[in-house]
Amino acid sequence: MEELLELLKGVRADVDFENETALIDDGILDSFDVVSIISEIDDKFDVQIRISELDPDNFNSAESIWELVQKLKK
Amino acid sequence: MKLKEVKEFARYQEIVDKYKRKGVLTNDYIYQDAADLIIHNNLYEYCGINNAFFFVQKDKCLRLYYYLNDLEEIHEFNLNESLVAEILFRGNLGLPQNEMEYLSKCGFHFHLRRDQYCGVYRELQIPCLKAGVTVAKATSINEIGFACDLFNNSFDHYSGDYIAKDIYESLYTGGSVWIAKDLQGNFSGALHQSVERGVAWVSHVAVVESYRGHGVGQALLDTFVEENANPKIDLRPQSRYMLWVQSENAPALRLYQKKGFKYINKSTISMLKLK
Repeated sequence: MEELLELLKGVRADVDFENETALIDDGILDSFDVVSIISEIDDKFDVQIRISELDPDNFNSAESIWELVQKLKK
Repeated sequence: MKLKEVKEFARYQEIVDKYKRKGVLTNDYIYQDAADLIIHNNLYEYCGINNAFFFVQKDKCLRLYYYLNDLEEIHEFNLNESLVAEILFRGNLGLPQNEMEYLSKCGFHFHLRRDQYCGVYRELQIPCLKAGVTVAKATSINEIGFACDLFNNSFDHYSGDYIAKDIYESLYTGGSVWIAKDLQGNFSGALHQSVERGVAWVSHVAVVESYRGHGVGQALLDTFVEENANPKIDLRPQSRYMLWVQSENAPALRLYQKKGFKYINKSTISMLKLK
């Protein structure tokens, strides 16, 4: 999770990823950010996030992103 | 070269899943809009062996979205339309040289760079009252027309800033355009805003040339910030604002930075191929 937080902070240093729970719903992250984050996650964690996984619920918090990564690593 | 229309979302998904390989270079941030584009018959595809491209028709050009897995697989894109590709990158990583070089080989040239800035209410400078400038919502289609003519004459036609006449009515009814006037009631500037998921965006802002340097831009920006702040006192400090600014627009950059907006490490390079 720490690695993910570091990755997210690298993309958007101005966002409080530890506490925000509506990153997409509140417009804090846009599709540009999501594309950047996905690209970094795919490389860092050796996973492949598909279009079907680009649900706002999966990207609304660092925790939900982490759960997605864990699910894909299985 | 013939573009093929994408008729179903499943086809879009199929292409993305096939070409989104490890290490791919992509600028496809339209995935959220893809379904809507398909419904409106405005998404086209062109697939190579290792690279794939989507196209969206805009008013003056086709917008290109790419999945690049092989930078040696060059495509000429000989179409009877001008093409624009926006390369997304994080400023702290430097310019996206690989994509720029690839697109140059495909016949594109560098057009402009834009940077994204964000402001949070609690961090912004308080409004500065400016004598001689009044700012109010546009009250007629005539005023909308003035604003849009000003924007269209001030900004680039190929990078998403152009406003087509068929949306003037919706700008008027949506109450999304602010007009600045001098004390005699002459138009001096305009700002077009949009609000998405609670975040207020400056979509366009421009000042009539003869009024530049007289606080019109400041007055428009101050009004935009105050009028879009959360009405609930406890939530007001967290109100969030966003905008894109061309990196060479020094006066605009000074205005936003002075107000307290900060660059958030997001930029685009616009590459253009004229027909």
